[in-house]
Amino acid sequence: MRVTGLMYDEEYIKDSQGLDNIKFLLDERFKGQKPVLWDSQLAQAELNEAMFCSFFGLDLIGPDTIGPDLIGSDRQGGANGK
Amino acid sequence: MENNTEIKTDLAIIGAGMAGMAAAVFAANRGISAVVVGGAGAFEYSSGLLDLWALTRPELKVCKNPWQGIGQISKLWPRHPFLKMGELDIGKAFDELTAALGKNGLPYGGHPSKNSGIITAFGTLKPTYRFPLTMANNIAALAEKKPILLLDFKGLREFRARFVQQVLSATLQNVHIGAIDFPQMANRSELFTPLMAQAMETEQVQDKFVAAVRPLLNGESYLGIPAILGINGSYEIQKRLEGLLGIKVFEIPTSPISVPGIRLKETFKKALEDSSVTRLPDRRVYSASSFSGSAFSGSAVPGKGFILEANTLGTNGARIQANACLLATGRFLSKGLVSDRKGVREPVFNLPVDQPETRKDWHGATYFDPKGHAINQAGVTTDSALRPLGKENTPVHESLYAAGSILAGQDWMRTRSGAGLSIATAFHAIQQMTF
Repeated sequence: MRVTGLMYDEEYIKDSQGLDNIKFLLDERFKGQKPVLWDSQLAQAELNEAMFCSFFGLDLIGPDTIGPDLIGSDRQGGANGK
Repeated sequence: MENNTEIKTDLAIIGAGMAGMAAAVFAANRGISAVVVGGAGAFEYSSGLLDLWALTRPELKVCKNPWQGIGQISKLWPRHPFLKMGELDIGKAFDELTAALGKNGLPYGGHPSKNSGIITAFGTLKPTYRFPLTMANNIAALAEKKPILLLDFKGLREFRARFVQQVLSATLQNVHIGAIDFPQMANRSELFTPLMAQAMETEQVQDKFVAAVRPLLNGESYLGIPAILGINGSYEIQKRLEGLLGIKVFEIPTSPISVPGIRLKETFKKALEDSSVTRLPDRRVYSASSFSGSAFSGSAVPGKGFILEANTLGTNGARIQANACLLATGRFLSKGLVSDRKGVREPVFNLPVDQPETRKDWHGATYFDPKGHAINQAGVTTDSALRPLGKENTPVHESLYAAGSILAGQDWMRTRSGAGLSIATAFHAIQQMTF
């Protein structure tokens, strides 16, 4: 992620190329890791999956990566939407 | 705490992550005498966003309405914990929890029947159900498409404004970027968001921040910054900055260790002060037996109550005598589930763990397999009251409950339901208990 940030800063990459790179790297690493994904490796993989999928949404593909569906949701003010 | 401390309580909550702390708040609100054991370290990995349900699988469709996704669970997730409770209770659980967070200084927003898109440090939009109000303006900024200034801090590597701007550019063009030195940290080669957040709590730093940002403004309506607006009092800090700068400000959640996650942890702690719940943050429950001394081995154990050995490794022990137990120890990262090359086990009560037959079935073919990985659905199965089932398919103990991500039949990461799973199952479990 840090390298990706640097590549954007230096304008080596643009648009969503950085995300494509990260997705590619994660998939490649997974192929090698799969045979040893238990115990502490599995725990670390869980943290990574929570971050890259649940938080950053890299498992969504194409236009859904930036979720255009959600733009224009009603703006919500106070707590609990009140 | 002294050696061999004896603690007597009605409810022992084992684990202090989202499920354990939510259960602790629900117990406190009901005046239930409880102890919550564990360090709450998991919150440092939390985004601070409270998801309910946002993604259907394997179609990968974002649910605008989380309840629509939940309505389809029985078809797609036949063993899902949400099927053990009514939708109304899930909503009540969220309302009660966010009310407690708001009352203790961390107000959340969100629509009762809609997910909202929150910009992340990857420039992606994360669909979520409830979000800290310091992130709320992000939603208006996206809808209005007015100019936004994204702010970089020199030396902060978890957040690069150009990264966010470029990924967002497919949807949003009017995004400018600018950079400042963080006040009083200009000579540091690397910045960390928790330290920046602490510094931002002083008005002196806020004023210097404002002075540095002002020259960069060029007609923008919004200022987007990484989530650094204080650990405590973030909402007030945001409002003060907006007043001084004259534009709307919103926070963007960054990767762990995350400030919004730390805020959650601190706010939970505050919510439990002067309550019927005692925290034992430096301890971990290593073993449990029934009150009559029977060990747990996966079969039903008769009798009432529990004895728990709660230790800090290598130091003094505490012995907790409880009438009921809530197991909220999480999954692999927090050691609620432990795996070796042969399989998965639950270490505190030796509960049977529902899991794929062999390890080769744990993972899909590719990392982003749209079906997710089968290992993530492994866990503890329960009856409708969330009591873990033993080998005989009956509850292991009449007053042992489980909540949160340790439960089987769900994949919180790939459905975006982590907080919701923890909060709702904690609520349901607490509601089943009588003392």
